[in-house]
Amino acid sequence: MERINLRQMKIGQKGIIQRVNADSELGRRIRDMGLIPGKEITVQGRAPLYDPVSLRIMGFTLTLRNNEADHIDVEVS
Amino acid sequence: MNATVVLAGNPNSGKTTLFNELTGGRQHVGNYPGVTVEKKQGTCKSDTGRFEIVDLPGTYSLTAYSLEEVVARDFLVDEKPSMIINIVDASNLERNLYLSVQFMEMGLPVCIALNMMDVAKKRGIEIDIPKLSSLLKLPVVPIVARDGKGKKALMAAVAENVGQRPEPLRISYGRDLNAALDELEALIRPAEFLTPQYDPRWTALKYLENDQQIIDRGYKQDKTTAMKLDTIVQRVKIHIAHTLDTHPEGIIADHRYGYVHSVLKQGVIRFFQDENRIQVSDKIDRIVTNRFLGPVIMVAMLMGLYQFTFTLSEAPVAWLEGFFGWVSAMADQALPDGMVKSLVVSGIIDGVGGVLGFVPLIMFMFFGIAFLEDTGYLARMSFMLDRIFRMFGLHGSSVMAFVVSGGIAGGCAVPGVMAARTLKSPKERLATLLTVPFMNCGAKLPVFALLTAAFFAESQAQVMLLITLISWTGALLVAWLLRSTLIRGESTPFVMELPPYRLPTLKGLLIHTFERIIQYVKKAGTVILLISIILWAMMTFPGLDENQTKAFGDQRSLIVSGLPREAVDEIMTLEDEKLTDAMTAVKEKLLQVDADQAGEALQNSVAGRMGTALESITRFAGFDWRTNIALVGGFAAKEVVVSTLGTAYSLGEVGPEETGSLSERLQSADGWGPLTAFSLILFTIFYAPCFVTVVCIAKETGSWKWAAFSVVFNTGLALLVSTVFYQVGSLVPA
Amino acid sequence: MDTIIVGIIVALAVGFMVKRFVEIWKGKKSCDCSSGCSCSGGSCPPDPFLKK
Repeated sequence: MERINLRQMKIGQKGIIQRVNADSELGRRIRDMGLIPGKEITVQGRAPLYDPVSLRIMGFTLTLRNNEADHIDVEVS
Repeated sequence: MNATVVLAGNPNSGKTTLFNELTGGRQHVGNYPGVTVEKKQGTCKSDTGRFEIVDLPGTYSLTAYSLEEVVARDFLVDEKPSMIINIVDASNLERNLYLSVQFMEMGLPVCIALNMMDVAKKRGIEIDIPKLSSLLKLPVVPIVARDGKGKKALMAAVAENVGQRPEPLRISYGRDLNAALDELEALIRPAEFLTPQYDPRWTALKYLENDQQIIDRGYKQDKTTAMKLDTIVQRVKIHIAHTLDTHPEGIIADHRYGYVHSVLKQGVIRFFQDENRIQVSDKIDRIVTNRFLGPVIMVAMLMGLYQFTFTLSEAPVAWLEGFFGWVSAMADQALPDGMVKSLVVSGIIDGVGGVLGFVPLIMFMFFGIAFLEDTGYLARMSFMLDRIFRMFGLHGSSVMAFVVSGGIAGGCAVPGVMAARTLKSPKERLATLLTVPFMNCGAKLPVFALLTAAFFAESQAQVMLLITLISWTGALLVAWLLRSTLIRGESTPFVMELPPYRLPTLKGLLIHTFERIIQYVKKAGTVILLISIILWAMMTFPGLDENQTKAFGDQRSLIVSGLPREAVDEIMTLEDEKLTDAMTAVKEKLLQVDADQAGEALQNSVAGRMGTALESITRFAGFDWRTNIALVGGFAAKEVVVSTLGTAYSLGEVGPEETGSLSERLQSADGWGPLTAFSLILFTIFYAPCFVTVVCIAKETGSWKWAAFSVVFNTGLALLVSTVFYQVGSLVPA
Repeated sequence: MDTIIVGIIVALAVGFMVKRFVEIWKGKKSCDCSSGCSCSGGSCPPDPFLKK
């Protein structure tokens, strides 16, 4: 069990969100889409230039820029 | 029974499909008052009654984050509809219910339409609908909007439950916030703060959520209470930050999802597969957004689309051009010589016909694009291009705006300019809406089609691809140029859902394509027609003066001097085959005089003089006065470039055997060649947007400064690019 | 005679164009699809980011 930043996750890796450290509009948007502590996510893939990243959460696919993913801490096994 | 109900739900949940199914063709599109968010309404006549359905914009939540959400929320609060039909994606239940719960917190009656049951089943998701319904205390009707299944049951449930006023849902937000809510409510109720519109507890919640719209309204209505509330909120914020290291907003979102989760956990939903398991769409995306294959596939898609379009439309376009040529020739023979004939043949038929001739091409292009849009591929394009776009000061969403404006082909800059609204950062927004006019909008397509058909017939698709690449590259470079002069702002978030790939229905595609063709033809029959008439007038008057006419008369006399009267009559009236060689020679000379006269009349006209005046600048780009007129006309609508060239080359020629299509005329015209054609193409890509777009830019930016900039800067850039190209190209040996 | 017919047609054309320009200026007609789009290519999509 290791706690890392979402940006460091590898493709195919699963993790459980521990903390979302974003506020104002970005924070709102991230949370509305379900990125909250306790949710499980799987990294699906990255765009050709490694940014943005696409994740699976609650059964759908969400994309996020790396500098947005930085706000999210995840626990991976 | 008659009632007004509202249709609301997440984007990509099938809301539009359901709306279409319920209202059939009986829709009406307008605007919400005061804002330019589209308001779609329609009538649904079912067994149980007649319902007016308002389609709210798709949203994920009801925060004041975006204009669409605010509009949706305001509509719900102000109009208090008798029922919300909340469309929920069954394969995405948890996130969809996050919105449903917010409706319930507002105390509004909700009926859930559980859509995409078929997709859920395939993914091994089983939902206990009666359980869900009883736990949420509202009706839940399963539907498959795509097939129209469940429509009746849905409307029956709506009719049964319409007009109820349920108690607002109260979710527990944890000890700290619950206490804060109670405290806030205790102030709001007696002060009747923002009541009766908003429920007191809901207002309290919004204050804790830092909802700017509610806070502003509260402040305006009752400053004292507002300030008291604010004090409490600040205190709570600090406390939460210290003890829990987070903000009230975060806690609220957590608990809302927590509530949804607790409902679902009670046996409502069962997964027979890992819900985050890799789906077919994801497998496709592994390839489509792959490091190396992704970009290759993108270019290949474009190339494929253009090849498809040009190949299939070649024959129909040629046929249509032939048809208009025939109509033109008929009119030429049927009408007596004179101004009316000139107006009808050169002004109207050859002008508008030039634009209408490309309808088959437009049709195939639109069909292809509709296909790409409906599959969901465009979201992938945004995903892949976001990083690059950001480097130039744009955003992944700008890709959507670009495509809408014709980034692939055929679109309109106006919705593209408006689409830039999704970008909060002023820098990104401005950069997007100023570069959107570079795209291949539907109006520019006939211009490119004409020029490529005339001078690049063998490689139309490749040239089209080149044009697309040039317009995108130009847009990126100009955006980059602009960013250095604009204020830096925080970039708009790129938190975006990638919807699963969908196979478009043929019916949907045909409807889309058909709608666009109708618009294209309508525009040709109205705007283009009117402008063609005006331009014809500008190209005909004032005509030649007495001396000039006399000079031509003298030329004619000179040619036929020495020939007997009867011989001259024969030459003019007999068919060509019956003439002797000598007579043919004379006739040709006479026709040449006619052509010269027509040409000089044209050059002497108002438009001709304007065009000639501009020549001193444009000749370096390879344009003559006729092209100049066409380009000036293009400011009204880009198709006018084609119709004006059609009229100009029709007016300057004489003789029925010369009726070819406009492409043919250009091929044999003086001063025209592949170099000039491509120079004109470059100019068309970049120069001033059409009038409608300019006005739209002024409105969206709130000032005429940027609108003027788009006209002046773009035209200047276009001139520079075409001139450089033409000059360099002229140096290269053919 | 000819001139009169042509004159009337052109005058009408000018009149309609002016009317249209004024409408666009006032914002009554831009991409209002219910009254016929001025865009020859796009149907007027709503916010594509929050696509319906």
